[in-house]
Amino acid sequence: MFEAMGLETVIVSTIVGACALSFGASAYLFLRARPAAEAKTLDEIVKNAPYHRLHNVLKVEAGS
Amino acid sequence: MKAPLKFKRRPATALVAMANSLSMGDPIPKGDLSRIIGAVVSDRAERAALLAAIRAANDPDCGLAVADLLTAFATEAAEAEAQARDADQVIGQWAQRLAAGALLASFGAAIAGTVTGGLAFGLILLSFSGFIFATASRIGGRVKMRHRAQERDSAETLARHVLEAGKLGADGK
Repeated sequence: MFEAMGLETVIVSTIVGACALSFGASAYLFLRARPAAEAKTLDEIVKNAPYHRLHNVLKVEAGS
Repeated sequence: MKAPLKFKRRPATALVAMANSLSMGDPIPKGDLSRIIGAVVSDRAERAALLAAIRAANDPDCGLAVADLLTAFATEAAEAEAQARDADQVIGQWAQRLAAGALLASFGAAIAGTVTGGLAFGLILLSFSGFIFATASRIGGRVKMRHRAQERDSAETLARHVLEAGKLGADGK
């Protein structure tokens, strides 16, 4: 079954396969290291924090 | 040191507010909490503002709640750092080695004459770009890992300082 394959085919397919594996692994690492998209900005979170809970603990300016 | 009478709305005071709200049983989205803690931990001005706010707070438990949130954040950051290190050592390193091996193999095949012409050039180009891509993605992962380690250290130190500030504030000094 494999006797008909030439040396060139074997070497080329091995190298291409190794490169494909390496590319796949690198792409996975890139996706992993990419920061997740945030739904809210930091300013919004700061503005909407529950300051009303602090009314007798700490005085925080009203409004933004 | 005299603390200001009124604090501004900023990440540090938002963190104190969230800690208070949590201790009163109100739910806070986890993502919001992590982002606020991340912003406080990585900024010197916010750290100083947090310590001042804890000292000025009337409730002695407030510092404790904030310190506990910071410690939990440090634990999460340590876990994320360990995962990033695993990915780097198990996947990143082997992707790099595989691409380097393919590069050497394609050089060898071209020199021996088994693969010739455009095919040999294409193979060398493919494996070389694979190696560069693997190295770049590994560097990206390591930058994130280092960032996590730094966040963990900062959160741990800040938690200790917050506890101290809480004690000072409770003594009324």
